[in-house]
Amino acid sequence: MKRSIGKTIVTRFILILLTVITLLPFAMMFLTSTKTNAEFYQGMWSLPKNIVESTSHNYSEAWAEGNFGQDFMNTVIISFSALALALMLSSMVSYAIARRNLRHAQTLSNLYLVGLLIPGMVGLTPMFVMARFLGLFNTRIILIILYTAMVMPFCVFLMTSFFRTLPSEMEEAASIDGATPWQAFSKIILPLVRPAFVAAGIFCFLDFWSEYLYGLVFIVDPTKKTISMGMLTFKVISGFKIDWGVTMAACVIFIAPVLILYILFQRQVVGGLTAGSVKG
Amino acid sequence: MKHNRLRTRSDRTFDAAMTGIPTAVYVVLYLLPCVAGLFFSFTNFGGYSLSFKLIGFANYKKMFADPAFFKSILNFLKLYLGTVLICFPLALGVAIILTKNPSIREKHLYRVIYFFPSTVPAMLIAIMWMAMFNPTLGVLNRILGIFGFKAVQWLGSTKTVMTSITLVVIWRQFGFYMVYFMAGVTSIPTDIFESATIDGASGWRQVFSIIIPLTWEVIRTSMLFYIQSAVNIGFDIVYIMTQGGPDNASQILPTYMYQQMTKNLDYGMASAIGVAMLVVTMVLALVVLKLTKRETYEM
Repeated sequence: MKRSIGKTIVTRFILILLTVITLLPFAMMFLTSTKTNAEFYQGMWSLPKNIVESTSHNYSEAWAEGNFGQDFMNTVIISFSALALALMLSSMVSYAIARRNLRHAQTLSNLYLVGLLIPGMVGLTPMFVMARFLGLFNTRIILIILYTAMVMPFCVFLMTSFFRTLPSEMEEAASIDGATPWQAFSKIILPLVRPAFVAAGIFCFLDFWSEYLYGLVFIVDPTKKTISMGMLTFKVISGFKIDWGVTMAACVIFIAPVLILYILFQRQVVGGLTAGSVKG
Repeated sequence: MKHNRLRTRSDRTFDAAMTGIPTAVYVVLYLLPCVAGLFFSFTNFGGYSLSFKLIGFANYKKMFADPAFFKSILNFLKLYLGTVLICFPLALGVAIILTKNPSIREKHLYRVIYFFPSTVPAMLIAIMWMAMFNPTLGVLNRILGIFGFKAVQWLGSTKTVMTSITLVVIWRQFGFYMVYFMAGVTSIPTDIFESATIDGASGWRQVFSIIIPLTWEVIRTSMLFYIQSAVNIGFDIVYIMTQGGPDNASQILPTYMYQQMTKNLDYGMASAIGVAMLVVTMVLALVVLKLTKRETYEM
């Protein structure tokens, strides 16, 4: 018994140490966002003297400098359009792969799997030419369609395994009752895989929130910037003395929606990742 | 397919629409550009004017003559291997601890905390860690100072910069793979462990003879899919932290490609690097698949 108590203490120590290592940078970020820059240079863990003043200064400065109001709206418009498109298209093809007894189901599934292996950056130049050619350069539309295509492989991967978990009698029962394949899909199957939509939707949204490479390449107009492009305003350039208080305030603004989403949906996020994929 | 005979015309129309529309979008907007990159690697496309010429292998010659190119391949492989060799065993170890110790009641809390960094945009993590790596104020040098070590120029020195970046990636991905491996460990039927215990197999013996073989496919899949993640996360973090510097010491393939595109406006050369990136990632995928091939065990 004594040995197992010792073991428990060591285990707990490791787990708590990892928790501290995980949370320390975030704690530093929150703390710094409430301090003046001078206070930061006095010590990373010193407490602010006049917390209300320095905090409000940092956050209002960060909000204005990153032009976050506009960026936020752009990101919401782009993300939600791409999200709707990606979920609709991915659910269609995943359903067909998983449940329609297609002759080429495996080939089709592999085609999407390739997208999980090829880095999308490889196609950046042709995408650029295509955008210029279609007159979509510097529009939100090009980001919407590229974001849609970008997350499709992952969504198909996740949704296919979800569709496979449903009992096979569902469509038979539907067709006996006279439902067309489309009705069986949209009225019976789709409502049952809502958890897959939530999990895929959150992962896509997190991807869109952090994406800035496409933004940098395809958007030049500052009024069409996304929020992660706004964050680049605060990019730390080594050698320059930067205002860490304001930078960290911008980081907190940028991370806030992610944090809220994560707290609300942590079960779906942590569980959705592995729900069907490990067994499937 | 026994159902095929029963398939009506409307069934076939349905299948064609359900697979055709999404696949057309995906192929045209994702796969085709990746293939078309090969064509542009033979041109002198400069990004502004849409008129460009075929220039043969000139971009490839330029690429192979640039030492930064080889450096960026090497650094990319370092980043990949560093994460796989350090992060994966650590993640599996903690996953085993959390699954096999029912006395830890707050298991779910640890899972949620460790997973959190992998949901945070990599760009923000880069900014945060730049403060942590600060040579005079940063936490890491403070801790080294306590033990009497000299301050390290984490991101400022060509010797340490790649290690620092790899550490950040490990820190971010640890929880993601832990959750992934945990699901693998949990799916092993408990009676296997029970009979192993009766047979007198120790804890370590169970890890190497039961857990690792039975979760091997999960580990292998993670190694495969991490290749693409390493490109994306690597780009986000290197671009913010060092932009490939100092002196190309932290240049990796995606940042090297981006540099040719934006700094030198050489989209042709960038495409050639893209092709190289495709070759490197595909070869890496094949090597990983070959080296990690084991007999699969039925549960």
